[in-house]
Amino acid sequence: MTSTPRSPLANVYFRFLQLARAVEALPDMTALDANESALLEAVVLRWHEGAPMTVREAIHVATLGSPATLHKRITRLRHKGMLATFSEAGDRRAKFLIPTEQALQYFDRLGQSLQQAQGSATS
Amino acid sequence: MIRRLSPTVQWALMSLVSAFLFVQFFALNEFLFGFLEHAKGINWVFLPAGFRVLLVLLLGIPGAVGIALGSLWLNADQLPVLGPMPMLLTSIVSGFSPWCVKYAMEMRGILHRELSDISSARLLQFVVLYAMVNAIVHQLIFWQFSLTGSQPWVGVWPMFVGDMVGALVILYVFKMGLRWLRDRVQARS
Repeated sequence: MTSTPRSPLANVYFRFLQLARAVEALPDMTALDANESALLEAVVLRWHEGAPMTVREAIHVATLGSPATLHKRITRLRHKGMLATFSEAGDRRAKFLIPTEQALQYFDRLGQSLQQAQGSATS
Repeated sequence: MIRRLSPTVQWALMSLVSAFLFVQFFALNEFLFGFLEHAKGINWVFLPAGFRVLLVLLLGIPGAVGIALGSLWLNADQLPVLGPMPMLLTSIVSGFSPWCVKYAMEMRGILHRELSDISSARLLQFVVLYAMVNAIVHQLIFWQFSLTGSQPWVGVWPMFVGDMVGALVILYVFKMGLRWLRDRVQARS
């Protein structure tokens, strides 16, 4: 069980796979903390249901924080490229929050990880 | 083709490729960050340091030997004033300081030889430790041989910062490359 492949080049390849996993997990500017993640999930769920949340609604989700805190959090998510806003042609006062392509990729990766975890749990 | 090569030939091949790549990265660093040079061979951003990390973690001793050979070649070409013994010693330190840190971490059970338990936190720990050891030992050699203007407590900082920043730049470029590859594969499927 503890034996490793004899070819040095094969060992290099296996180490490369391990190292690539660690490198991919390095923290970066787009990493979300738990609070940002919770707010993003709430916004994206509403968007997924076909009824995007307005900024006004988002800052009043009392379970996630005070309006001032949530406003800052929305700004951070926008700076991190995870959320964008749009207004309807007839009413420019209401700003709706929608996920960016980057946010959708983030959820795509989460989905894949869930699938992998499920696969390894059942095998 | 590769399966037919004996382990010794593969080993030698890895060392030579490492030496070649290390020298090329040194040239690239001079081209990109030459203006940040603190002293000859010491830069505030030293990309080959990142390459040292990758080569030693992936290849082990052949990587360290390759870096030492590449470093020796660079020293002989660009820093002949060092003299033969400091030249040889700094080349060995250049290649084997990351390997010694890796070995020490393996001995303490915080890093598996085949990297099977490596995490991003462990990787960053390795980078900090290696940058520290490399900078200190280099400066001790300079000090021991009384090289002109050598003040270990002053010179150690640019080298430490340069190695750290260089290693982080390379690791994050590697990370971006992996993400780009993943996106390409997903776009095709």
